[in-house]
This record gives sequence, C-alpha cells and structure tokens, in this order.
Amino acid sequence: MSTVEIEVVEEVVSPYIPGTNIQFAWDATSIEQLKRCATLRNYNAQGWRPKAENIHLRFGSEYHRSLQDYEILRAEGFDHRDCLLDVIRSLLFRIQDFESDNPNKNRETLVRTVIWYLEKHKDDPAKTWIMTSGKPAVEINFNFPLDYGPTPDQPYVLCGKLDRVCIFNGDLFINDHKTTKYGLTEWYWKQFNPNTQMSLYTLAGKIVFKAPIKGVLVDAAQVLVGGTNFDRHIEYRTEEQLDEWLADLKYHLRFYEACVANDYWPHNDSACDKYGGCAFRDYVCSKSPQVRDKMLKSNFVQEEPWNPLRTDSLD
Amino acid sequence: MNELDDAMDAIPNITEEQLQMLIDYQIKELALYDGRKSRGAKKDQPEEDVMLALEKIVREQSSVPAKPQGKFLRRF
Repeated sequence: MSTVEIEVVEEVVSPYIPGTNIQFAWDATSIEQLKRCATLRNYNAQGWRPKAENIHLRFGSEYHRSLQDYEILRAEGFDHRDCLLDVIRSLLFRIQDFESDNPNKNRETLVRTVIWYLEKHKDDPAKTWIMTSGKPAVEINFNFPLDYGPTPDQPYVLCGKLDRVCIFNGDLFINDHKTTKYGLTEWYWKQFNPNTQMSLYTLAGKIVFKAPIKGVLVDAAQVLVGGTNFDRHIEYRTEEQLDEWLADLKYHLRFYEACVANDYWPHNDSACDKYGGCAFRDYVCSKSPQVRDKMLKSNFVQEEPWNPLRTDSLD
Repeated sequence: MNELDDAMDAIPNITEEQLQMLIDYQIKELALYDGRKSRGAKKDQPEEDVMLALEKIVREQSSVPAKPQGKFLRRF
C-alpha cells in the first residue's frame, strides 16, 4: 500500500480574482466549454442555464453519488448487501423530486443502473485505494497551480474532483464513471482520447498523489429502456501527451484573457451541433444579436454560476 | 448512518421489506438480462443448455428454490 499524503481542498473561495471578472481556477468542465466556444463559456460563467432541469446532469450526479456512498461504506467494513441497501435507500430519498419523461434516464432506470452496477462489481478487481488517513480515495477534490497566470501575482489553478483512485492489475488509475444511451462501441471510447477530462485527471492524479498514475479507468453504463450494459476501458496518457495538453491549455487561457480584456466572446459556429446540440443554439445564438438578451432571459434562468472550487457538489 | 435512517423515516411509501424486494427483483432482472444477452451472442448454442444456465444463474442469485426448468423461467 502506498503511503503518500494528499491535500484535500475544503474552503470554498471564488474562482475569480477579487474585484475582477478574471477566472483563475479552472476545472475540466469550464476548460471544455472554453475550448468549444467562448460564447458558451461566457453564458455559463454568468450562470445561465435552461429552465428545464438537465436530466442527464442529474442522472449522472445521482449515479456518481451512489457509487461514492457505496465505496465509502465498503471501506468502513460493511458487507456488500448492507451497503447496497443503504445506498439505494438514500438514493430513493434523494430522487423523489427527479421528474423525467426521458425513457432512458429516469428514476426507474437510475435505481436499476445503480443496483446492477454494484451487483456486477461487488468483487471488482479494481480495488479502491486506501489513503494513509485510512479513508478510501473516493471523490477527492484537487487543485494545483500552474507556473503562469492571468496576472503576475495570480497563477492559474487547475481543480476538480476525482471519482476514485483504484489499484488495477498492480497499477494506480483514476476511476471515472460515465452514463450514456449510446452503444459502448469503439466509436464511443474514441471520444476519450484526446479528451480534456481524461488528461486533466491523469495529470492531477500524478501531481496530487505523487504516484505513477497510469491513466483513467473509465466505467461506462449504457442505459437503455429495458436494461443497462456496462463496459470498462483504460485511457492511458504518456508524459509527452500531458506536456502537450498543458502547452495547448496555455494558448487557450491566453485566448480567454483576450476575451476578458476586450469583453468579446466569439462564437465557434463549428461546435454548435456537437454533443447533441448546444443548449444556447436554438433560442439564443441562432437569433439576430439585437434580440439575444431578450431570448436569453425568456428561455433561460440565471443562477449562481458554477464554482469549480466548490467541494460539496457532484459533477 | 443516522442521516440515512432519518431519510428513510421521511419516505412514507417504502418499507424495509419493499426495499429488500426491490433490490432482489433488480438482481434477478440483471441475471435474466445477462442471460438474454448471452443467448443472443451464442445463437449456435442449444436452447435447452441456455435455459439451464440461465436458471442456474437466477437460482444462485436469489433465494427462490429450484423449480423444473422452463416453468420456473416463465414466471419472470
């Protein structure tokens, strides 16, 4: 068993430099948004989201939370059946308000998917890594600074949350869970290389744990109306790939600084149709500029923006 | 665990027994689903062998006593 200590972020601070709108703390989600489209990043940074609940986000969050609860209980010594009961009991309580008419992602398919995953993996060869604190390495918040920043006094900080660190075939991996309605085919797995989240998580694992993290062990669940399929895939990253990812990120962040300085957030109209279509495409970006504010306020709600430094939320 | 117990108290419409039943039901569904997938993947396998294997899986993962093949499976 390895014996390195880790730093766990506990305080919630603003991801912006005080008194400015310059974001210095970035997680995988905000980096992905910036890379996709500056307009998208700006709307999200302002807290705009569709009025209807994002059922994919809710489904994924509850799925993550359930598997996290299970790993923690198992690490405390409870047997599989007792853990399963507690996890499902807690899940049922949390999702009473989860209203979804999506045939793939709803309360029933969520409960089924959690039970099936845990039952299938009750003797999982990928064992949760137990940290020196005695706690399982589950849902670990991380942050670390880069050697440059938006101002000389403020370095950029990369942050996020790792689902789990596990030992698999003698090597350490970050374990991450995905849900989808699509087939777990070669095409599905290709989306993870290149991929911001996979590269950032591998990098974070190496830096935070000071251990030879090999990559990310991705557990995917294909949620169908009549059943759930599971598959596992390993995403490796070499040191050279991680160096390249970091070098690319610097350019993206310099671009971000130019957007802030000019208060101009250009559209990337080549990305509007990606990931099933951007949420802002139909009601905002496809409209003439002079009516966009009105359309935005009519079709979206503005909430407290997502803070990548928060440690109490599931993403 | 107290938090979970409190949460349970707030759910008026599910009992501990119902929770157990729900989980047992889903575990059986999983076995049947995997059995169907396996049968679909091995079409050249004799149907009778698949039915026997499926029944064995279901029986091992549940407290339901063994029944004659076929009749048992049709209950699900």
